[in-house]
Amino acid sequence: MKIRKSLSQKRKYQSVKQGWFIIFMIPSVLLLGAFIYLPMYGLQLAFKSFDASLGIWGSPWSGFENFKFLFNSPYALRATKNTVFLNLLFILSTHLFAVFCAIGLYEVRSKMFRKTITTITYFPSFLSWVVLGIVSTVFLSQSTGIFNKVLVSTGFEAVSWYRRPELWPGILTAIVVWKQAGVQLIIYSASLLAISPEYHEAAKIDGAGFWARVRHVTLPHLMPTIIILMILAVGNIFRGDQQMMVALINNRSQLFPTTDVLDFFVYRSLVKTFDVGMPTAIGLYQSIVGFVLVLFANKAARKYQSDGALF
Amino acid sequence: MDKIMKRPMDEKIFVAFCSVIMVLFAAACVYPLLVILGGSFTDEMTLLREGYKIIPEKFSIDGYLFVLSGNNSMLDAYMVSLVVTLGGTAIALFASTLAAYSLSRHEFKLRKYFNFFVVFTLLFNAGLVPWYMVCVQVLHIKGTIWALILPMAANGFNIMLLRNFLSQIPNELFDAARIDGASEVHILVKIVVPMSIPAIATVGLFYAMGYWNDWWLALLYLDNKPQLYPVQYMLRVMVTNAQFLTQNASQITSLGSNTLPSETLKLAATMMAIGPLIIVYPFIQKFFSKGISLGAVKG
Repeated sequence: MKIRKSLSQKRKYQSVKQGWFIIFMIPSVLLLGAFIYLPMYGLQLAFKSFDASLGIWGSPWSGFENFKFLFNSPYALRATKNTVFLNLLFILSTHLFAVFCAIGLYEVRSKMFRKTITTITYFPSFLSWVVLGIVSTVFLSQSTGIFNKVLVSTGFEAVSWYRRPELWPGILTAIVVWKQAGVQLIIYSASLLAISPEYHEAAKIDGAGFWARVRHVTLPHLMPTIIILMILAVGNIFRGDQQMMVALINNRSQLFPTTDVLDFFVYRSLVKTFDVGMPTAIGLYQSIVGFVLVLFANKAARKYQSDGALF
Repeated sequence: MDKIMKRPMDEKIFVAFCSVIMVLFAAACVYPLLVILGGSFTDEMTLLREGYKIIPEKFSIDGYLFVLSGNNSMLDAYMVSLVVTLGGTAIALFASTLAAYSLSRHEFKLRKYFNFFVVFTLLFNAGLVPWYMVCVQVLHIKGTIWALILPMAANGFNIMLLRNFLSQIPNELFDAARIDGASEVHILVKIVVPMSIPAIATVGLFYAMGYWNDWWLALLYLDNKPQLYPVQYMLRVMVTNAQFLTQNASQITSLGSNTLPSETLKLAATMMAIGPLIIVYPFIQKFFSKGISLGAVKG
């Protein structure tokens, strides 16, 4: 009976005209084709020495010259290190903080309180990096900044925030947590609300205390969400946020030793020195490493939990 | 009441501790906005002397006057942002809804291939420089308003999100409509779209927020076209480019002071960029929280 039904279903589907489905795809295929797939054709610039008068196609091949230059450049190595290090800091801080907040918020009984907190803490993610750049100068500027005013009025010495590169991994992490933790908090809270209260009741009847319930009920329910968000994050660990760096650091080269990430380096190469070959090579190197990382992370997630995988 | 009494001590301490941390975090989210609001209405000299205060010691609207006047004012930027946000969102929603519909239907035989076409854009991209070179040399969008609209008009993540929403519509509905002789266009316009208004609104807001907050495209493609600056990029130029400001200010004679109120101006411009967001946020926030939790859970 079941087989016959699915067969007739199949036949019915086969009779559905396909034309419209394909037509509906055209606008998106054109847009993605133009702005994502067509630039892949420009990736050949990584193996060429670019000449603007000859165009992308006409420029002469240069083999692996750009890559040689890239891997011999101390700046590219520094940018790679900074990218991975800063991303790890951002990911771990944001997610640890958000998971902590979500578990805490879940235990608060007042729905009003929960709603108010998630609504307020979500707002900073709506602000652009330009706005955050201005907010950061309001706090950090040498003479008028809020932090230095407080330091001076309490008898400490003012700190030259914009001349101390060693402080910036911390400052950037604080800014990223401020901007992003609210988003993660909503995601984690939503997956906690999906836990049926019966699990907690059952654990209580079995004599589980508060911490036992957090460890054996709440955290296991959060795990799939944490894993999916980690896959996404790991895949992007080689990608720095160029908008963030252009808005917050811009041309303060004193801060580059700790803040110059690959994408920021690429942007500056393109805009300041009009170099095309080497930044393209960096982009290709980032994309390939990122792609491989996503595939691995996805495989790992599937091994851990069959529905935990992304695709 | 009885239940609350029964909470053991360690649980109470943990909940209280978390509540305090979260109240502090929420305060940290609001405080900078209040400081910017207060500072934007403060007299420039007072602000430089006293620092940023939530309640202005000496009230002044000079910052706003400067931002709103001159050849390239914030008002023109508002117009550009409005056109780009509305037009861009309309184009993006049109393309994404159509694609999401096709991708959500099992009857579509090539679904697998098109699905891959969209998902692959999330996993691999060429990077900044080839993208820039193709936009400038092949697509010729540099210096036109299309540079602000088209690159963001299709987003693989949003298409997949919408597809996940649409695939929840029961199959029987489609079967019934087809037996009645409805075409795909008819089904989409008369059944799918009306049933999915909340989902389409959510994805539309994602696009709209992206357009409103964008300054990156203007930085790359419109640097020599001040008349096409959107709000966020105008803000950046006002803050980083003193020359742009003095040029603009030289045309203003109505203001008494000779010095440029550069600090309060910066804050006033910031307020103008985030003001519309603050106003609409309470109404749109619930769509976003639904969208991001669904997007994250389902990929």
